[in-house]
Amino acid sequence: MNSQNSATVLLNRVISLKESSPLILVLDTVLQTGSYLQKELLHKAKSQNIHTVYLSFETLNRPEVDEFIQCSELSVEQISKGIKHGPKTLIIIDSINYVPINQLNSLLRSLISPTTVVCADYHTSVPAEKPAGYQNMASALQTLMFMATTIFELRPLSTLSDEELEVASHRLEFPVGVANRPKFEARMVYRRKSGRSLEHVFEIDTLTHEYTVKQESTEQPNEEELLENLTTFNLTTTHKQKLEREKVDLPFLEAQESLGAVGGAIVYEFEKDDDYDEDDPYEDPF
Amino acid sequence: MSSSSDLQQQDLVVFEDHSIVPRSSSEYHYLTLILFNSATRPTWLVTALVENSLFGTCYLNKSPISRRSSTPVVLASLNTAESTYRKQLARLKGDLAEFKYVDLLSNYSNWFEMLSAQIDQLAKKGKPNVFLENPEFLLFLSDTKVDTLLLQLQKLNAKCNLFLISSNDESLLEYSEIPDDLATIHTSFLTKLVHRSNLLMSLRPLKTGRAVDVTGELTICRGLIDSPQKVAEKEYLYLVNKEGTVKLFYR
Repeated sequence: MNSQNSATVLLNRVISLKESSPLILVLDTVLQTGSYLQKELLHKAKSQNIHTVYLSFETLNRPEVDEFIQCSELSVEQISKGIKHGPKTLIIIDSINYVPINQLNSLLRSLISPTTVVCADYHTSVPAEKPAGYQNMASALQTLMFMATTIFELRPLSTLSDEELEVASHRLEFPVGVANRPKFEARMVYRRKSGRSLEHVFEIDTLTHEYTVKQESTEQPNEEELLENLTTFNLTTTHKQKLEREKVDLPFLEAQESLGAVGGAIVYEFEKDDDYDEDDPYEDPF
Repeated sequence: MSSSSDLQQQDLVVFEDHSIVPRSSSEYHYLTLILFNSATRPTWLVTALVENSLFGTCYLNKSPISRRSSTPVVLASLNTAESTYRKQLARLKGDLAEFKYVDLLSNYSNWFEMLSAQIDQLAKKGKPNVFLENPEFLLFLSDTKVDTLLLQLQKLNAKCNLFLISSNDESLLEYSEIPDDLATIHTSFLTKLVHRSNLLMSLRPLKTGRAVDVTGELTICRGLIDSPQKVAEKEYLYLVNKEGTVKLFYR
């Protein structure tokens, strides 16, 4: 329970810009937009009188922000010069997909400062473009994930499996009542300055501004559970069977007991460099 | 198993306030994306949306629409000839003075200027609803880049409510790492458009195969950008009869 509380506190602090995280990367898809998370950040920023700047590469209708800059036809220098900074500033980039990979670094470097937090949205459904002639160059997504101090990976709240959502997203099919709701799932990776990273999964409701830690069964099902109901054959073992199995002397070891008792027998004696695997006594030690 | 003949015919409703096209507002510009594939041509739906914009009525609906409004319409197509839409709209017996068709089939080279001029002309009578069919063809007919086309569309959208009608055939979405590949360009264009949309309507054939009494599914979904007018998300089955009448049923 304590770890859940601390996870929610951490999310609250990140979204309220109280935790040190200069670059927040939001990874969204066509099935779960990042626009609701942007709204949530703006809502929190507004309540603390933080200066808000919106860099628009695709947004036409101005959201409720202090500064709205249409960046589609501006250079990196023009964008960074056009921003007025407050004592604390939140800069939202509606889609960083539009920034050419060779200008990503200079744009982010010109925006981030000790008093500025940048939240960049990256649409993972959009095919990534690689500049011609640089086939081995890291993709924009890889670069951003390396630079980001907090990453939010968004997913709709749904009973559909990841594979089903992936297929729907690929075919541009939008499951009714599932896709792009204001309540969604967010996997947050927060990187501390020490290099340690914390990972939590939340359900974020942007209508009520409530965040809950999503309960995830992290325990791997054991072998017995996996084998159960797999076939019509009984593949599991009972407790009694297990005890009996442990009592069985394995033939290779048994053969060692009567060392040289039978004339002419080939007896193998272990040497210190032999790679003997106790879990697999049948393995050929040669 | 029930067939569409057992089901009750339904009215087309797109927004929670029971309207079909977005209300005209000087402050908010809507972007609607209509997706279809080769088995589900959207002419009947576009006609219904054009009719609703022009006259406030809808030929698909049995019950009359309470709030009628009139919005000028510009329809530009790289796919369907003017005669097809004129024929469909003539059956509605309304005044088509505020309906303008821009022929991009025969001349697409200065499409942006033509469309822009037509919007400016109609804007004197009110903010128009602009329908553009298969804008993605412009990417393949000319040297236009995806981001350039999106920027041009955004500039048009700033003056109107824009309805983009585009194909999402599966083969066109099988993108690769090759930047000049047709599917990569098409997917990039469509997914970026989806991320700008306020309303998504898609026409798909039945997943279970062909049926005599159902032509396909119409899905109405909220877009990725939240809008002041809330979308009533739902799925319909639809049937286009031989004589051209269309019926909607709840799924």
